[in-house]
Amino acid sequence: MSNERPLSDLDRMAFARGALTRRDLLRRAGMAGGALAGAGLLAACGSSSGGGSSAVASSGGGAPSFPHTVSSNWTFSNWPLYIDIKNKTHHPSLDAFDAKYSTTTKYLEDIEDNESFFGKVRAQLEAGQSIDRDIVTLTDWMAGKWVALGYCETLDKSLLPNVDANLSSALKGRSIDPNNDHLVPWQSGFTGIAYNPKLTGRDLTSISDLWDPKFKGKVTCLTEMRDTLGLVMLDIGIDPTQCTVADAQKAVDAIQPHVADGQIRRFTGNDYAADLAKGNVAACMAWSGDVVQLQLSNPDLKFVIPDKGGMIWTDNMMIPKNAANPYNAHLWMNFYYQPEIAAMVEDYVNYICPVNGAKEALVAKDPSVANNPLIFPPQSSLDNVNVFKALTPDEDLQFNQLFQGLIGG
Amino acid sequence: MRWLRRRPAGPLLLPAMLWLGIFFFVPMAFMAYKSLETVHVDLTYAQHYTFNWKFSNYTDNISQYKSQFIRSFLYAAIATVAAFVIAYPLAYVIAFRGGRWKNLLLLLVIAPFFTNYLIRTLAWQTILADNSIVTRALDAVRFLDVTDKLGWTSSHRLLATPFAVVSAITYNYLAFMVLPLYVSLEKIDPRLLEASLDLYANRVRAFLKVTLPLSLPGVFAGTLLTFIPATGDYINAEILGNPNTRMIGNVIQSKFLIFNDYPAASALSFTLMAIMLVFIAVYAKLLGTEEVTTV
Amino acid sequence: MSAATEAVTVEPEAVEAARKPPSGLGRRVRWHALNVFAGLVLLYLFIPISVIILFSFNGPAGKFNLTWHKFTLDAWKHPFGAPGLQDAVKLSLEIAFLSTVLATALGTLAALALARYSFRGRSASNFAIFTPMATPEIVMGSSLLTLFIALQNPSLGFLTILIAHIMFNISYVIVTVKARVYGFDRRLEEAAMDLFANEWTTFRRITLPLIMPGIAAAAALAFALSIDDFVVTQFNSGAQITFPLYIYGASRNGVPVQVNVIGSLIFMIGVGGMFLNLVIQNRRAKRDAVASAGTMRRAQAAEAA
Repeated sequence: MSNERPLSDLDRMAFARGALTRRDLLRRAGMAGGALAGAGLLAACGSSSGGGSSAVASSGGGAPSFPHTVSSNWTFSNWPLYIDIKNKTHHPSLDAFDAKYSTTTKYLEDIEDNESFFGKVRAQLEAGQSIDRDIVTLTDWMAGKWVALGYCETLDKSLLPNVDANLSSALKGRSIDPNNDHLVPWQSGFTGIAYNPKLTGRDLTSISDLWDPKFKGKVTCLTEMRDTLGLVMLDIGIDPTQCTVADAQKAVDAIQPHVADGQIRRFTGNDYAADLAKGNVAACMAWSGDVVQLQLSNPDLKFVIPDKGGMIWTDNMMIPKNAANPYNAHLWMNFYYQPEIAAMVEDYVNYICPVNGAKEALVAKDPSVANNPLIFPPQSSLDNVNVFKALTPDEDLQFNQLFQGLIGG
Repeated sequence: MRWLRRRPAGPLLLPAMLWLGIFFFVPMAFMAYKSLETVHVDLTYAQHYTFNWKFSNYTDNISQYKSQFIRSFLYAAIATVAAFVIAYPLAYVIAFRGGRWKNLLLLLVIAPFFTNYLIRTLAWQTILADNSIVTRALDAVRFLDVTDKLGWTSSHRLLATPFAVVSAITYNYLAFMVLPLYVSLEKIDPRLLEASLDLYANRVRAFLKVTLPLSLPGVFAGTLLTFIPATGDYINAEILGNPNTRMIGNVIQSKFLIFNDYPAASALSFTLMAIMLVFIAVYAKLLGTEEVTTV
Repeated sequence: MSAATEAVTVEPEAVEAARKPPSGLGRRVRWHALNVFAGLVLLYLFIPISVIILFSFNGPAGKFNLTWHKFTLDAWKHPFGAPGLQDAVKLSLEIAFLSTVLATALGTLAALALARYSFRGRSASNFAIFTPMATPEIVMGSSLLTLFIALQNPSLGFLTILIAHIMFNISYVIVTVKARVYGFDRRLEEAAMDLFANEWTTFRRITLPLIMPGIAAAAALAFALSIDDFVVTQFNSGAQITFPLYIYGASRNGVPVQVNVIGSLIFMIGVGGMFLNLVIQNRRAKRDAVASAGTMRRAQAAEAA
């Protein structure tokens, strides 16, 4: 336990919420950690039903314990169309995993929106109940919330050597997960501008281009607050990595007139893709992976990172509290971080791969994907994108309220 | 008259009432309780609720979302009227002129609503797309010019406009209007019609004086079954609307799912319900139906 | 059906009169205009469903089934080709069937009680049953979730979805059946009781068949509501995914063509089932008509004698 860092208030509260369970205590025998952790665990268990106490501090950072036996099935919840797929029914990566470990993966594509998914399972999480899923994939800001709230299990890094070895360095040590012991990145993505040159008549290079009166009613923005406000902030010269509520207000004020006069047709989730495909929309804020997919059927469509900067976000795998099969979850995370498997997935998903080595693994099989700058972006792109600031709960509320007022309440 | 003998209706009624009691009214009570709480988000995003009779949850939220409330009632009212105008002739024709084909026709009316609500609404997205046949045809006959002027559509398109939202709501709840109207019309004894034709000079008066009043229970049920869900609907506004067409259902959804602000969401929901119950009572009085809930 | 309660050998003249166009050109035009309007409305009802069926034969270029690309039977050959779709549909059907049966049973009993007996608390009961229909679905769904969590062991899933569906179906069943029971001529029951001895037989052979159209309509309504429900289900489904939830999730990323196929299939099966029901009822009505005509003739002959 020598490399523990002292527990912050946040962590202590997270542990007090039951990060260590009775189950852990019972299975402690024979696990890495030894007597010291055991003692800390006992103390923690005593206090796990109440508030935090100083006894908890001594058990901080301990490896979670669960039996290292493969369960016969487990559940993986993800966003739709976010994994490789063959013949519309199989997921070769999952099939390979199932074959290797003699297990059955139940793959659910039931996360369509961070907030609504959270809203759906929140009550159970708050009550300390399992949500019947062993991995969920959530975007960084929501993942950060879950970590802070103690809704994800701490990872056993000894089971994740591939992650340690192959995770892109840009995604290590993030503020939402400084020790990389709760989240494992699944895919990243750019937020920028997608447009149809046939409908716009010209190339677009900045967010201001979206406000061109010629495109009135044919422009959409995203319901994802951090993406929309982030891009607009960059456009008006504010740094979204360090923005304040006042900055958010400025960004909202910049967008408001375009909502009022109908320049912005509506605010969308992924459904901007449908509008783009149908020609309802000439230009919009968009996510890189969707556009790569759309370009397959309409090669004219273009995606650009605005000159003044774009946004980058990451969807992360995490194990929800009291998941039934954490060992399987760990095995999968480790499995995915092999370059060949990541390449297999990347070939279909077309977002930004967090696994080093996947590009090389893919070059032979599918060079068009391997060399696609939206999937394996060059450093110049990566330099021009920003991660939205990690907001405090209070800021989160205020930012959201401002944004909701913008998109109609 | 043996059938007037009073029998305890209890055992017949009990199972259904018990079910509703446990799975509707008890949760409602919880919700009422929650609507008077204050929520406080602490540093770890955890939400803490304190019950403190916070009536300002109601006043604050109603004043803030006044326009969405009004808009919801407006859209629902327009949709209900439109549905009535469309459904009544259909129900009339089936009930009185259907003859042998009555049930078959009714089947045809209900059949489209066997498809999924979401797929239907998404289908409207395709039908009303900017470059679709429908849109281009309406544009060609200058219909869109008129609606643009009225503010119902904009930029000569149908999607993401109030027109699309209201017409989709009308469509989606049409079955709820046709069925009660039909049931009510069908029960009218045709001999009454014959008698009325003998009494009145023309069919229109016969209709207004005899048929329509007799069908009032159906009208009442149909308009309510349409208006009420339409007011709380949010899917049509979400799929076919724009930021200026958001309804109170969208607000409640976002309060619940995005902000997790259960007290506010509960307060808004209760307000919506209360307004609708008041409306129903007033409406019932106007129509002269003695019991609000009988058909 | 009021026609069934009349002597069925001759259709009443009034019905005949109501169904023939009037004399005079203006009147005829107005008469037919109404029929035309009704026909147009029927067509209008079928616009989205025809689009849905049409696009089930589409072979889209990308992942969006929004513009017509080419005709293909692929989706029909593999209707469950999209992953997760089969489980979702199966779940929806199970829930719909079970909730229909239970809600119709509970609701019919309650409707009978409310429509025919007078008792204390009757209007309160009426009001109580009416309230779920006056409630936005989102309110019902979220408040129900709160209840399930508070019960400490909700295991959200099949059971909770079922409970929720029965809950909102009961009110609709009651209202629909009540409407039927109200219009029901009590004298028939009275006559039957004079002829047969007990209430149960009366119920079974007179009342029930005559209100059966109402019950059938209520059951069809309940089934349609259940298989279609999105909002309430979304809150109470836990990890289970029903067909509407599947569509919602897929709609952001491109609804697979198979969804159109399933939608069309549900439509066709629903229509087919109801049509079958119609045919059966027609046969039964005819058979009863023949039987009662025979009875009438014998009664008349006996009188004459």
